[in-house]
Amino acid sequence: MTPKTSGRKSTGRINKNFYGYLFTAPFIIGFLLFSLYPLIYTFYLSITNMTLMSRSYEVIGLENFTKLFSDKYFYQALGNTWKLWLLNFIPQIGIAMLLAVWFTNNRLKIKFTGVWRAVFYLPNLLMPATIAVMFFSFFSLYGPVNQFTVRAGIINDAIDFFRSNGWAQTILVFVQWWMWFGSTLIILMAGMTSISPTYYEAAMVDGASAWNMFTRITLPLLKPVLVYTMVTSLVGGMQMFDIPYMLTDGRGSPNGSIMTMNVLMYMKFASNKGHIGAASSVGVMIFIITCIAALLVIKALSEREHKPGKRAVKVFAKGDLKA
Amino acid sequence: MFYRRSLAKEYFGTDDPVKIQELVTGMDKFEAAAKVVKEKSKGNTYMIGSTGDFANLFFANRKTPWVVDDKLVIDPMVDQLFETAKSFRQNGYEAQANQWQEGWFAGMNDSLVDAKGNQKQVFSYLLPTWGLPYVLMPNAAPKEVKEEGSEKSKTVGKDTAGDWACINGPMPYQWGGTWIGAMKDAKELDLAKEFVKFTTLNADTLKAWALGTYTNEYLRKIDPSIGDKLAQGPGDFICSQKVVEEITSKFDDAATSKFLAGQNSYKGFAAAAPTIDLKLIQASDDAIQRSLNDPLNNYASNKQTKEEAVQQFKDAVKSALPDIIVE
Repeated sequence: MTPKTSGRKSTGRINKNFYGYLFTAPFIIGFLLFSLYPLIYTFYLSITNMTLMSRSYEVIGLENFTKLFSDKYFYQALGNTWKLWLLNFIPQIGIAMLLAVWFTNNRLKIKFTGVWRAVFYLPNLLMPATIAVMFFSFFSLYGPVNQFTVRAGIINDAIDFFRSNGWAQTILVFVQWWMWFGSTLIILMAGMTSISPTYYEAAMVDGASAWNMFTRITLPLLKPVLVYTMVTSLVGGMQMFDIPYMLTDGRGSPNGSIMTMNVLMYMKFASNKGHIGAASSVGVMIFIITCIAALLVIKALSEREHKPGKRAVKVFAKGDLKA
Repeated sequence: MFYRRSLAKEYFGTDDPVKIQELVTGMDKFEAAAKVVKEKSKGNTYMIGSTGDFANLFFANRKTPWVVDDKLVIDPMVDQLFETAKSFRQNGYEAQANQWQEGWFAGMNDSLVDAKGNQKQVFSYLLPTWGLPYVLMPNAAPKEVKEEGSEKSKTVGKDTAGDWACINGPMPYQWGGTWIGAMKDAKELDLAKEFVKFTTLNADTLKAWALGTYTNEYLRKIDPSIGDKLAQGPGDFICSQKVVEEITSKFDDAATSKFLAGQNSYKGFAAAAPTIDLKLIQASDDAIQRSLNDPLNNYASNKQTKEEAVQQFKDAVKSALPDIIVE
């Protein structure tokens, strides 16, 4: 960190501000056009009865929402979205954390970490459509999983995976985990390698165990990265769409067991007339739920910062991360 | 309906379309025939690939449309569909495949193998006119697959062309087709009208469409930028009775007829066409009928009672179609 002299500051201020606006303009314009405007427009659409098939529409107040709240599938989709996200996020962060600790550990000295990291990240590069179709073929009644397990004597009869609610959810959760733990791993590893090794050296001199080092040094200093991972995963999880949509018939079959809120939104949009209004009301609910959940996560994870002692380390660490 | 001649001979002693038609006219007889197929094949041949195959038959023979005065109406035919589907699944008359998925197609070229490694066969497919050139024929040939870890490839299944026959089946029905329309307030309404006339009423266009005139070379001369697989093969059934009558004899030696062991399917379609009723078709049909998939499956597999299944169907319709009243 270089000390700033007051003289430089006053002469450069105007210019710097001007460039500041200029450099942020592309983002601001993009944000206003492609994020804020659609968001506000979605709120507006959700109080109309607009469909794809007619030009005229009316503002109908909260009717879309009253219908939505009496729609059993909405509650099912809401529950599913949380269940499917949590079931894939917990093992995802757990295993990514474990691997990240191993890969960054100076004592273990695991070889080819770059290769492993790339291999684990690979599923994320595949098209979700390809993955969904691949898993559908694997687990279909006449597919290889059944053929292998039955012939190897592991199970007696073929399982109709995609006509069973539990199996369909299990497969979906596995696919989501498999696609995303590599990405989480990379972020956690980046966070861990940016923690200064001096802390660990000092701890080792003091005779701290590996577990102590992990809980007292790694976890607290990793908190900003954890907040980031959790919030992005939450936002992504609430918008889970492509795999559940493509894995079965696009309606969350069997029995809506893998119907997420986004699939429900698309179903309302893609039904006979293209009910834009009704679909928007689902979108608005997703937005509200995601916002509240994300704020709660950020608040929950940043509350402990009030303890003065830990905070000092924290601020220092943040500076370290950026350096 | 399309069935396998060799299997018909084995189980019914004849492959004559007229005699087989007698054996399957009406759903009750169809079910009885399914029982014969199962017993004589010792459970190794299924009457059909999936319960979804005959759903359209029931839908096409309803008395009332799905939606009357914005309200959902469940025709008695739906109840019959539930019972038939349950009977077929519980008795093992269907392969439990899903339409448009591997297991379902596998029955067409005899490559259906269950998890234990037993060879299974499918006796019949309930497909409409377009099912012959677009679904059955392309999938009735052996498929080449690469062996794992080597460049060698092996073929799976066998060529079943020539082993098929075409009959009206248990009930008259239709299954979609291609529809062309124009928006009410379209800017170029006259031009759109001309286009609709050209594609649906112009005898020359219809003939060219059905007889396979629109080969890739033909289309390329008009527009060289098109893909090299774009073409319209012969055999699609068309909408003008006059033109159909005129060209039926041209299919006596066509690939479709060879596929059916000399039977001219066009003749059969032409005879069946006047019995097709399109009055029930509504824009919401697809969404409603899809909503029935899960409840139907649950009831057929004994996972739900009929009340539960019907309730789930109603909830699904309500969710998919916000402006339909469900009571």
